[in-house]
Amino acid sequence: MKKIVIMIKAFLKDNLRSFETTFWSIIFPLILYFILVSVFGNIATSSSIELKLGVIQQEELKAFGKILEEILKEISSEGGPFVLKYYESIESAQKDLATGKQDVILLIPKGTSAGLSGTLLFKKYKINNVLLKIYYVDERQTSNIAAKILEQIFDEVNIEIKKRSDKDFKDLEIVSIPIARHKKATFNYKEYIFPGIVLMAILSVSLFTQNIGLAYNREKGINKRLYTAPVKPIQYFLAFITTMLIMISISIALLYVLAINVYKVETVKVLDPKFMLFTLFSAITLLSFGMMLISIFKKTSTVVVIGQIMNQIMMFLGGLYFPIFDVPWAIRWIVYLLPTTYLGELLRGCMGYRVSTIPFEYLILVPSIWLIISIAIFSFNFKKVMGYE
Amino acid sequence: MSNRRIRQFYSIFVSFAKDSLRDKLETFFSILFPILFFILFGFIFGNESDYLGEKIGFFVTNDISEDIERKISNVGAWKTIMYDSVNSLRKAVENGEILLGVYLHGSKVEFLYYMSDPSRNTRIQMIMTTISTFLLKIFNEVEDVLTVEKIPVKVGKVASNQMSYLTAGVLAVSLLTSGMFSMITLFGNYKRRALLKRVIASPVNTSIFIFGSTLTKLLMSFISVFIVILIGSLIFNLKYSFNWPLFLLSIVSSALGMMAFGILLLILFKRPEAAQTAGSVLMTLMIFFSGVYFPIEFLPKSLRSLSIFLPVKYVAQILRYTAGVENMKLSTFFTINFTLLISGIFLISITGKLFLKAK
Repeated sequence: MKKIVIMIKAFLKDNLRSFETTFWSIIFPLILYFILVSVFGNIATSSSIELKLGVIQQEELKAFGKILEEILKEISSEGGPFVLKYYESIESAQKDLATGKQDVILLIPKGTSAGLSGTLLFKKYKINNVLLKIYYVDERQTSNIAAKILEQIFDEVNIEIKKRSDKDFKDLEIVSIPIARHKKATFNYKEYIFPGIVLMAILSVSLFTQNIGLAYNREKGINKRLYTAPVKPIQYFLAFITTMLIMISISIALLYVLAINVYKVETVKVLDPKFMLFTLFSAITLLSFGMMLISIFKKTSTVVVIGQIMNQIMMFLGGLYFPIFDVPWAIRWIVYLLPTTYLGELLRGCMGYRVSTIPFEYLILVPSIWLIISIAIFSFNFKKVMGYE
Repeated sequence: MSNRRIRQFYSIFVSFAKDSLRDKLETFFSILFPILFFILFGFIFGNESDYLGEKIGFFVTNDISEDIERKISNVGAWKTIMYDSVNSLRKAVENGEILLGVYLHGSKVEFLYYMSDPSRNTRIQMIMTTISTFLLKIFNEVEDVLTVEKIPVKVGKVASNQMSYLTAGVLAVSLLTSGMFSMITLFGNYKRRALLKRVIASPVNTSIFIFGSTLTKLLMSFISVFIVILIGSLIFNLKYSFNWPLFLLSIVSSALGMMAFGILLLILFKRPEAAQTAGSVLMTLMIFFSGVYFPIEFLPKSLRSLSIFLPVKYVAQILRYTAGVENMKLSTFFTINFTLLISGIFLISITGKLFLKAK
């Protein structure tokens, strides 16, 4: 036992002194948490979106035409999604749309005021309605969204006009019923993403810190030198794995500090014993997965390349940052094969943010199968991994 | 250039090409990594830009339900599935068979949706608004006073699609990874392995060494870009109309500019490992903040200005332009190219001479 403790201390010092190991295992998950909350947290709430709207008014709006002026003022006021710029001609506006200076262009044609007033005053006589033109760039996501929002706004204006002029207008009672397992009816991205970041931190240690460490020790003959000392391979291995678990714990502990103190994630959710137990289960499964890879691939450079590939696949197709259950089947089958898909759902489930309809038993069963297969392959290749054959 | 120098250049070019292709890490970061990223993000983001074709479930109990059913089915903006009870509608939502369930009874509309999916929330909100408006119009027989005609404008040479637009941005990221990491490897790792000392001791001309090695890295960038385009065309039906001379110019200047970026990191961080780490962090930042995968307009105001300082944003712009999916002023195009090209040539030659100076 004493030997194991001494080796753990040595491995831990070695890892913490290495800039790369400390950075990728401990600091990077914190940076990524910040980045993702900044990007997707805002997309989820979409409170500060700023879309550029170019307006060409081919006439001065009068009488009922003033309605349009009011609408434009409202959608470009504080909190409104649009920033307005008026143009003299359609050509100059389209030029700015083409070069990306505007996201969308609205053309208010000549005769709008008269058309609007006529339609509203003499509804019975079916005067031609007013045709507004929206120019947008289909390829650009922002332009597309801006055009849709604008179209929606004018649709609502039509309803509003009818509502004000028709005393028998029937309003609808709209009720949103979110079906979710969390008790609160609100969605908090900072909470939702937390399990994904925890898994990413575990992946980083499992695929890089652990594997590069083992490959390096084997390649540089450090393992062989250790065997000349009175240390059994199993003691060495236990010390190494315990060190990895400590590295994971440090990383997750810092994530907890950021989540609870800065992002105000509910402590009840992240300190839930079930969440912690499943985090440990995830750590053991992914460390074993990493060990399986190191037992198959020998050279450090191959281990790094395979680690990078698996890391990207397990992060993005495992749905750690955003759910991907609706990707085409050409790639969806990989999603269902990955242990991270199930572990992510398992941890998110504890916080009340389950996405898929995968039964709970499978969330335990599939990673367990990976755990068993990984340990079996690793045990079979144990001598090769430790480099003493 | 004398024959001897040409031979020198050829030998250096060939040996670096062999070394680069044999080095698994370099091959991975220069060629495979961009391809992997492209395929992953292509499948993830390539099919979620629109809600057209989303499955929406309806259960209607109104007297005029048949009329509503017919009108709803005729919209064509979504795939309509009718249910015969609220329970079956709810179950379909829970099982993920439909994106949204609409239960219409009397003047009450209940929207049922599965909430814990941030990627769907925006789409769901948009569809809910559209359906509410649509139902209000049916109920009140609203005739449009304001009619809107949406006119898509072709800004590039070709009527393209969002995937082609995204791919051009991915090419920029691919040029960044291959350019930036190749210089860190060249001047950082080779220096650590004392390879540069051996070059100094040999009768190889320094400029030829720098030119030969840089050309190899450029070749790697070319390979990476063309493989991404090839895969993209095969899998994602890309629609491009390349201006080949300008495209090739952009690839060369972008690759050199990105190499300059790698050198800057090496100068700032000194140790190649630290520069590599900084490069990876910057790559992550650029993926999220340069507007390639996610619109910059959706970022918080404080972070939006960050994109101005990220070269990938500009590389993506010139690549989109030369691929015919985007428009830009020719003067802007040449300014970006010129800046990338000059900074690349200047930093590579200065750093090369600095690293290859005999002590």
